[in-house]
Amino acid sequence: MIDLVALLLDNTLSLIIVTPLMGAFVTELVARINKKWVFPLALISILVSSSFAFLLASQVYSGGVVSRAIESDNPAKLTVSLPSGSLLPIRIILEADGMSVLMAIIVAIMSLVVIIYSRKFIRKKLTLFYPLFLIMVSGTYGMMLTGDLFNLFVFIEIVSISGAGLITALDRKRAPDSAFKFLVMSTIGALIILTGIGLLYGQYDSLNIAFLAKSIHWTFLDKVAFALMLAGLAMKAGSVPMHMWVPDAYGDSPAPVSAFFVVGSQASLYALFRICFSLFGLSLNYVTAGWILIILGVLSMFVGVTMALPQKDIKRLMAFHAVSQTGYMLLGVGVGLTVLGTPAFAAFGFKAMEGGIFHVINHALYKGLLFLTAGAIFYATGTRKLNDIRGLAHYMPWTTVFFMVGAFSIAGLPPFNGFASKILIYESVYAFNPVLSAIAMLVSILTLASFIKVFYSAFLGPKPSKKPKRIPHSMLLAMLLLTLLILFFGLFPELIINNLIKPAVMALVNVSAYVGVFSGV
Amino acid sequence: MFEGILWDPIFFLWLLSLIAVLVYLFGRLWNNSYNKGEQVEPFLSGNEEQESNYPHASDMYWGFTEALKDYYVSMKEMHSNVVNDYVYWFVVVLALTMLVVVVS
Repeated sequence: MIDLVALLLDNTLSLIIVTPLMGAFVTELVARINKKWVFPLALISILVSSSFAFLLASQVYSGGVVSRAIESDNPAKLTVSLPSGSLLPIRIILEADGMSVLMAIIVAIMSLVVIIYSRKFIRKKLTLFYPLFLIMVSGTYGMMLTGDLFNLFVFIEIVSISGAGLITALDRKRAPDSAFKFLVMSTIGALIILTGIGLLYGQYDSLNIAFLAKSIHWTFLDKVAFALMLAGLAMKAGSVPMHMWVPDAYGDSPAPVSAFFVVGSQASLYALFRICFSLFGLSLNYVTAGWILIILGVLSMFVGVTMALPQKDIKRLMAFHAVSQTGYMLLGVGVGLTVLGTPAFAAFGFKAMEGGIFHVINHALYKGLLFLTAGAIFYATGTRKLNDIRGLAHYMPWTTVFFMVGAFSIAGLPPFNGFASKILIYESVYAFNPVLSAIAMLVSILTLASFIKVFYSAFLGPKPSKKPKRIPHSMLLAMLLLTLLILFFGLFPELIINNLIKPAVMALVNVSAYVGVFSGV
Repeated sequence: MFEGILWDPIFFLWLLSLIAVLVYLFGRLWNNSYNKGEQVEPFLSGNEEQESNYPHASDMYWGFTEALKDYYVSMKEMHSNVVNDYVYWFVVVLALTMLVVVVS
């Protein structure tokens, strides 16, 4: 028994990824016998992987970084001879520090909430939806826990392909077109990233991020590789002007998938931050890279919110807001990167990064909640068109409250969690450049205006003549869980910042420590 | 950043609760003659409120979008729904990023 516990503790990193992956295949097989077992099996897979994620978090927060190399019993037998004469062991390297574990917590929470919500929402194509969802969860965990660039590419592809399948899970009219666009953009983005990885591998004979970080000399090819990876990952994160796939993919996929897509995009954002800090952090021109992130961030914030305002489809509107909110994260982290290594970093750069990273987890919670409320509206009324719905508050009081919490939070109103991260971004970015801070505040005002429109048209007004369908308890429970987390994060921001956000920012900015710890794996 | 009482969310919560209680108590002072009925109904231009009278979502912020018409026309052209254009913008950003990174 003790051996089993020790074995589980030793292999937490791999089990987080393997559990949902195995769950996907088992679910598909079991579905051939009895479809009633599909949901319980999927739920168990998510419960187990989420438990492992929280276990990993406790390991990292109590004992520092965790790493694991999956390789043959006799590594000497499984090597490739390189032209340089050195032997490269074939293995998979997984690693977790404060940043990756924060992202794993986000996946754990959101996958759990989404699967609870899906129980009643997904009533057909169960054998398509649940295995694909589990594969996507596995790929997302993989992106956050890998220490190897090629595996990062593989996990990006897993998330993209499963995501495209999930978009079309329920809708066969508009969704296939959106899935096709998503797949085209994802494939092109992934190939561009792979080209960048190839340029590094060709020069340094390694794919280990930490090993590469200390080897990179910032040659011409390194610069090209950095630009390729940055553009590819920024596109995958939904940054303007490469965001056009976002309203299609988020808008036409089933609501629980849209909620998890937010996490998928954040996985790309995480990879982008890893590339900027952990991979190129010892050699990069911080000012150039930081300003690229800032410009992409400001464009995303402004274009995203202004495009959201005239939307008539509730999910497309929310998708444009997802683009806009990504801008805040890019702005916060971009400002931190620009002043990294200067006295200004201690003055406001660290706070800016805290704000940006805190906004990642806050955004996952409130945007996830908003997509789930949009799904509840669709479930109850059968439409996503704002012009066709009104007066829902008469019949859906709980959904109305959940929507208000999500809307207040995304608009950055106190005391919700969006306020906590946005105030950090406003104050620190103001010290860097007041104009950028003013734009960020203006975007928040427009965000509030946009959600007032949704609230007024969908929830207020006279009682609708056609009574909407009753929302199942499982869907309400999922929304309630996110609402409670939003309130908790908003009421106790210092607790979250000190215990989750600070270690994440430290893991990103302390590049020498990252290289020192992980290059020896 | 959250050390000061100004940004303390718990303080906000207490303050809002206190205001809510005061408003409730203040309201109770004069509402003995309050007649629940048409006083709580929304008033829309003297007509009885009906589902068909209720403004649509697309009617909202008409002035805002009209004032920024040129911006929205160009934005709609940019969001063409054609995947070739999506790739075009990606290539533009990739080229610009590469140029800036290599030159710097």
